[in-house]
Amino acid sequence: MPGIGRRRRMTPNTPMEYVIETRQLSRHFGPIWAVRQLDLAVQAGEIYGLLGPNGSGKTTLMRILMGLAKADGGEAVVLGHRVPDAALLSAIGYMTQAEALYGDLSAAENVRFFAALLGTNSRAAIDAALELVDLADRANDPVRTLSGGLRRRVSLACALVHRPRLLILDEPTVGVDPQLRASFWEHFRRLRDQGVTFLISSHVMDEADRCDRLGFMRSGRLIAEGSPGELRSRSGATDLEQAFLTLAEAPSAA
Amino acid sequence: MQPSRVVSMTRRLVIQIRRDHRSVGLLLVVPMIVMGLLGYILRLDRYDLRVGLVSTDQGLPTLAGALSATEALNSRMEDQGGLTIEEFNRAEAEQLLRDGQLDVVLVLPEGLFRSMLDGSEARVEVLVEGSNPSQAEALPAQIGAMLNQAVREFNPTRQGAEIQVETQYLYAGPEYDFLDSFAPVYIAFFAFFFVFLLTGVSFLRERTQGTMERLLATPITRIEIVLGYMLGFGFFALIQSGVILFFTILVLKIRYVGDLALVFLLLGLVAIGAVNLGIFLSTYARTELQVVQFIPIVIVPQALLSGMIVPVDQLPQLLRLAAHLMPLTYANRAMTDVMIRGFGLSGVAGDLAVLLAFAVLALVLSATTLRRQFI
Repeated sequence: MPGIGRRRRMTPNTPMEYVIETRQLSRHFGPIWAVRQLDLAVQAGEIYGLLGPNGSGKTTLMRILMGLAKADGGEAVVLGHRVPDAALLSAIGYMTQAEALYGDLSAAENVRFFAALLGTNSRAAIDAALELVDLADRANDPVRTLSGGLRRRVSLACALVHRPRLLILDEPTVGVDPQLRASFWEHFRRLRDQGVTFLISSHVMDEADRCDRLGFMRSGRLIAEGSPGELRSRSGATDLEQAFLTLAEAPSAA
Repeated sequence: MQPSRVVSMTRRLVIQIRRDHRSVGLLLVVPMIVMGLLGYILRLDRYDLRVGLVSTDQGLPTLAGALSATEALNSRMEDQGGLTIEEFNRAEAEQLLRDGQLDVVLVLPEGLFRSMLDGSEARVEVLVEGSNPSQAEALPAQIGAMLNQAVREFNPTRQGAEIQVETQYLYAGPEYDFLDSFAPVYIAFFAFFFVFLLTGVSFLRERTQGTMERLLATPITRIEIVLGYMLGFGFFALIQSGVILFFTILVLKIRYVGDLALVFLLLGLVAIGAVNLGIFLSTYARTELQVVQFIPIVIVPQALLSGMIVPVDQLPQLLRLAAHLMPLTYANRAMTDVMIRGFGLSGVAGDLAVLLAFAVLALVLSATTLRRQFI
C-alpha cells in the first residue's frame, strides 16, 4: 500500500478512507517483537483476514487496536480515533480466542450483560443477536451446559449485539465444526454487505479464501497482502497454504 | 496395581508443587507464623492490673499524724504483686476506666479505716468496665480478696466480717456472657472473611476465563468494575450480616444495647474494604488455590491480633503496632462500642473514619493494580 506510511494523522472529522490504519506500529515483549513496524490499512466494508502461524503477532495487534495492549512505537487509528480511545469501544465488537463467558449465566444473560456495557439495552437487539447465531432455542440454558460450538456462538452474539461498525474477531471459528463455520461466514458476509468492516484472524488457510483481502503475518510483520486470488497468482501456488509458504520464503514479500 | 504408575503420579505432584514456589513457601512458613503468634499470645506475661483508687475515707489522727485507709492499704496491696495503684478523684477514674487506661476502680468509703480497726461492717465499691466478661466476673472478686488480705496484714487482730465488695459496671454487666461479647466481633470477622474470599476468587475467575479482557474491550472503566463488585458483594455481606445478627439475637438470644443501623453501617464499611482487598490481592494470584493461600496471611493474623482473642492493649508493643494496621481491629472495637457499650455515631466516629480510610485505600490499590495489569 504505497503512500500510507507518509500520511499524517487523521482527525475524527475528516472523511475516513480506512477503518483501521496503523503506521510503523510496534510492540515487543523482551527481545521478541510481537508487532514490528506494521503498516496495515483496512477499508470500510471489507473482510480483512490476518493469516499467520501461532505467535506471528495477530492477537497482539488486535489487542493494541482494542486498547488492551500498549504499542511501543508507531500509531494506530481506528474509525478515525487514535487508539487507545475509550470512546471507540462501543463502536467495535471484539471476540477473543477464549470464550470469555460467564458459565453460570444463561446465553441470553451473557449477551444482555455485554450489551448493557456496550450501551444497548434493547430487548430486540439481544433477541436479534441470539437469532443471528441461531441460539434462540438454547438462550435460557446456562452457558456451562452448552457445547464448545454453541459457546462460540454465544461469544459471537456478545460481540455483535450492539451492531458495531467494526468487528475484530480473533480466530472466531477455532473448534467450530464445518457446518457452523459456514454459517458464521454467511453472517459475516451479510453484515459486510450492510457496511460492517471485519478484521478476522485465523491460521486456518481454507478460511482465508472467504476474505476480501488478506494479510500474511510473520514475526510481527505483514509479509504479503492482497486478495486471495492475487496472492495465489503472485506466488504461483494453487492453494493459499502454499502461497503463504512461498511468500514467506521470498526475500522482499510485500 | 502397578507401583511404577503410583510413583509416576507422585513424581508429577512433587514436580508441580516444587514449581509453585509460593505454595512451598506457605507450606513451610505459614504454620510457623501462626503457631508463633498464637504461642506468643497465649503465653503473654500476666500484665499488671491498673487500679484507680478513689478515697473518701478521712482516716483517723494518730500520734504519727493522720492515718487513712489509703495509706494503710496502698502499699500492702501492691506488695501482693500484679497490680499498680494510682489515686484519682471519682470523675477522673471513671473516665480513665472508659478509655481503657484503668482496669478497675476501687472506691474506699468514708469510715473504712474505722472498720479496719474495730471490725465493724464496711463496703467498698468496685467499678469495672464490663464489656469483657471474663474480666467483669473475675476482677471484683480478685480485688476484694487483695483488699481483705491487706486489711488482715494491717490489723491481724481484727475481728468481724470481711469488707464487702459491691461491684458496679460501666457497661454490660454480670449477666453478659462470653457469647454476648464475642458476637459483635464474630459478625464483623465473617463479613470480612467471606467477602474477601468471594471477591478474590470471583475476580480471579474474570481473569482466567477471559471475561476481564472482554470487559475491558467495552466502554466500562476500571473504577466502574471495582464499584460494581463493591456493591454486589457488599450487598451479600449485609445480607449475611443480617442473617447472623438476627440468628444470634433471636435464636441465641445474645444481649446487646446499641443501634443496629449503626452496626450495618460498620459492616458495610468492613465489606467494602474486604471487596477491594480481595480484588487487589487476587491480581497476585494465578490460581484459586493461591487465593485461598491468602487466608493465613490476611485473615489469620487479624483473627489473632484484632482483639478477638486478647484485648489489643494487652498485646506486646510490636504486635499492638501490627494490630493497629489491621482493619478488623477498628471494626471489632467499633462493633463492641456499639453493641455492648451502646455508643452512638459520635462515639465510634474515629473508628468509622479509620475503616473508611482503609476502604478508600483498598479501592485505590485495587483500581490501580487493575490498571497496571491490563495494558
